[in-house]
Amino acid sequence: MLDPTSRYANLETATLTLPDGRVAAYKRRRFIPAGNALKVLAEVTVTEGDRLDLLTHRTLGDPEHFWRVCDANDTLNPFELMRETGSVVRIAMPEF
Amino acid sequence: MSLLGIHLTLLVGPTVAVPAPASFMEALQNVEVTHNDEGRSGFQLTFGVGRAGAMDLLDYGLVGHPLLRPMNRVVLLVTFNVVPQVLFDGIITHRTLTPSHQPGASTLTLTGEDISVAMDLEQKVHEHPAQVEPIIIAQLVLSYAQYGLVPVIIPPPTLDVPLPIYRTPVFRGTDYAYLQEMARRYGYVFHVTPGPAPLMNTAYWGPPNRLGIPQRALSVNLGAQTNVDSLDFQYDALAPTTVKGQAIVFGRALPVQTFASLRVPPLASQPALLTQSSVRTSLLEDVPDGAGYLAAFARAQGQTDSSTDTVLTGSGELDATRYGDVLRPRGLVGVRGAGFQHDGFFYVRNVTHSIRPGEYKQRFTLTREGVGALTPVVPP
Repeated sequence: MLDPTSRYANLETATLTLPDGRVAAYKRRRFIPAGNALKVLAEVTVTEGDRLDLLTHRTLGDPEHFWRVCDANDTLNPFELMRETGSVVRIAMPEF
Repeated sequence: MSLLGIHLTLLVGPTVAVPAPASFMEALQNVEVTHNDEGRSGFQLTFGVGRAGAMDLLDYGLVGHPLLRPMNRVVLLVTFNVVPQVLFDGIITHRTLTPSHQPGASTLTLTGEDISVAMDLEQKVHEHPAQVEPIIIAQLVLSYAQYGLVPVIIPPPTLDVPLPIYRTPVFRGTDYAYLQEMARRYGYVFHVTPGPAPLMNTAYWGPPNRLGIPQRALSVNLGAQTNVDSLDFQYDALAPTTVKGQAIVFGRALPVQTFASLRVPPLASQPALLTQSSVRTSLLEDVPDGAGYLAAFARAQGQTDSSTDTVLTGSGELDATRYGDVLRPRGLVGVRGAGFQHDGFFYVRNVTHSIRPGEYKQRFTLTREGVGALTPVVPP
């Protein structure tokens, strides 16, 4: 039941039988790829007042893919990524 | 940025498909891909060929190329705004060469079907004593692991184990025909869906999949929001059918009768079987003696369920650049702007993609069991 643009959409769904007999479905754990192993599509310099969703829309065409930018920069907290004006944000080639 | 927009990638080769050389992409004139809900999906690639220079002394260019031999694997990827999606994964089965006396008008057309064609090559005698359908299906599908087939099996509501002392079901035919026959028994579908990654496929056996998040809505007659070029709806009052009959269980006749479709979730607020003043009734097909009452009932219900799939049909065409995504069959989509009776959610039955340089059109067929939306609003 995940949106196709979600980072969890392609993960395997596993099931677990709880002690009281109910069956719970869950997604397997997602491992974050190493950012510098991904192919670089562009490098963007952060400007004053820019936002991650706007930057993602400009480079990848869809703001909901912001997590791909976070992955490419090895960032766990998306709010840290754009904090410093002048820092360089790496945009990676999207993979499956 | 120049990479935004829609791009097509062609992978082709024997068993493992590799990215096609640039000369293929230059010669590629037209791509047509059809996805069907039941049965097989197909593709057609049209290349322009010609004879120029010493390299083409013997034959038209591309015709003799080892990558384009029949029975090779073809994978098509479409990239919407840098994010790739698998559009098709199949095998070349037909090849047409059309030489022309007009310069530049000779074409080579490659036609093929999805990976399930590999399951339809060898006829066998299928004998599975004391086994129920989900186990048989998993065995059949897993024997095609070289195509990256992953089975997704939804067990039917009733399963009855054929006791070997009474009967052993035997089927003569290909694996594919057997899977289709087992699906027909319950009003189910069997199809192979490409993806999520290239060279991977999902083999789905179960009821038409109406679960999951609906795709981007199809909007008609909504001014700037309109993303459909044309759309029309047909209502077929002769399609809905109830089933009546008798099941012979160990020599005793028991009545079987169906009333409504059990497809979940329902999509129409006025399903034809319940609101139409009269509907057709058909007799129950022969069910083998000893198969049990539940099996006979499941078969009758399956017949009724599949008859309601063709009641309200919508067909139309859209421009992918306007719609902004690949419309996928075997899922839900919302329709808005067509009035209360024809708005709401529909099941996408088939989609035909027609791609040529600078143009991407999708023709689609939607179905549902009657008129009337179920929700007050359809999300865009």
